[in-house]
Amino acid sequence: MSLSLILIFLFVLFLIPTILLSHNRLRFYIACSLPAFVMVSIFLFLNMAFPDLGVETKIGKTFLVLFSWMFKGYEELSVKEIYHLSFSFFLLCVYLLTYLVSFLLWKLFFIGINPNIHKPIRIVQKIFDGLFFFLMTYGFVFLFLISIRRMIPFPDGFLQGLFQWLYPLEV
Amino acid sequence: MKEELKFYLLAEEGGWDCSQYAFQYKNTLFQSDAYKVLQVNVLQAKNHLSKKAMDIVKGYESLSQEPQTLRDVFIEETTLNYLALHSFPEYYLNPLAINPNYSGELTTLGELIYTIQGKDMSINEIIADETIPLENKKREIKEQCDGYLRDMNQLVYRSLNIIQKRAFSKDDSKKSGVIAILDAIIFVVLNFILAFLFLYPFFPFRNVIYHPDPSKAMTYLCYLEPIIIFLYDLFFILFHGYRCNISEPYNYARRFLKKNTKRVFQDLEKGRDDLYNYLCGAINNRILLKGDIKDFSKLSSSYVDFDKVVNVSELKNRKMYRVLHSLSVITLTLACLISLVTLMVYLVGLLYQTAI
Repeated sequence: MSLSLILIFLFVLFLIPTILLSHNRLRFYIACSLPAFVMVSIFLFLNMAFPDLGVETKIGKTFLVLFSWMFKGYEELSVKEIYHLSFSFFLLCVYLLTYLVSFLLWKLFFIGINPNIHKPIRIVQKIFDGLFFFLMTYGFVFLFLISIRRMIPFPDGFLQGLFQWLYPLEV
Repeated sequence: MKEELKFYLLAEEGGWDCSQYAFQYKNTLFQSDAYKVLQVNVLQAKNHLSKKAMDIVKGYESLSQEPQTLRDVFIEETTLNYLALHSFPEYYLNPLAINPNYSGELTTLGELIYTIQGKDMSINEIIADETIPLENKKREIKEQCDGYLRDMNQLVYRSLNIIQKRAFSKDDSKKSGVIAILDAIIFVVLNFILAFLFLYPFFPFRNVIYHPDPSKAMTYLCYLEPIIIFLYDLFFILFHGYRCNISEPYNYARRFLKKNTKRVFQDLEKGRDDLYNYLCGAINNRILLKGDIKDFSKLSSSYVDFDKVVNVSELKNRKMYRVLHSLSVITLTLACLISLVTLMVYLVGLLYQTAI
């Protein structure tokens, strides 16, 4: 078992709803996950584009009190890595909370489009919507698991090169 | 009815027991051409959502196969002949409720049959007729159009009743809503337990992953748990994805009708008005109708597929639905058991700081 295999399993698990869900339901979940995805992207963008701001370190330090119980047994982690893990879990909480709020709001207002009309166009729309849905759900899970892979008790596997490129671990 | 039987019917009314003739005539009745025609036409009528079509079907189903007296036979025979004649689409089709995929014999509204001044006439015949006053024609058309609207309104009320429940539940919406939320919570909790077991730094547990020890229960659990949770996730997602896919027309109708009931009724009234104006226009200008049978259908327009709403209970009978439902329930049970056992073993190990 390796992290690469786990990500392949999750790829399959996220691909199934992308194909099976109705077009209206896909749009509903995209509407729910879009604000969450945007919020997380803003934090990541600020972190990458303005390294001087030290977004990761500041947020990681601030919220460490919430997540420190998870890192107690990892004596080999450096301070920087602990802040990074705290920041990653912070982003997870932001994603889930924003998703939940969007979900409750859209549940009240969302109706959708009659599934019996404009079927040929909707097939094309569904393909694009499926890609969006996949990106905003599996994409986040993929990046999250890579960023916390220090905590996962499995080796990186055959996608190690990709993981190191996305988030290089200190030796 | 044969003349001879009419004589026995009269005798029966006079107090004589003539039931043996009823029994003898029974087979003749149910092997007659009228009954065969009715049997065939009823299959088509069942697919049409109008009151007249449903009345034909109900009348057919209520035909008694065992008439006891000649009086019963007379009534059955008259009913059978009436139903056989009126079981043709010309008599019962509602232009507002025609399936957009309809490909039957009728191609135009002009073939629909109304009773006017005691005679059954098609709309095209009414248009062409010069003896019937214009006002009488329009009055009959208006009555029929009002009847069509009443039909559709009944369909909407019936749909509004049906949509109180979720697509696959027998119980009311609140209870099934609670069950759905519980289902989702269990899904999240089981996956959270799996994530916790592997992310929390309990090294005796991690040790059995790297160095499996057959004498420790944790060795088996740390492999069984992720496999069973993955299977549970797979069937949970397959089942709910499939269910969502097949029930989307119903779910859309449910969301739409709850928020746009008034709009639907207004649209039906407009449909009735458009139909009335169209038919009156044809009558005024003596234009025979052609190729317009589906032009006024409200069954599956930009709003709601009432056919899918009314027949939602058939979804549960699909083989794939039942198979996936069974698999998801089985894997849920296994996942709950294995998670409970693994968590208990893990917590005991955590307490004593050793692999169990």
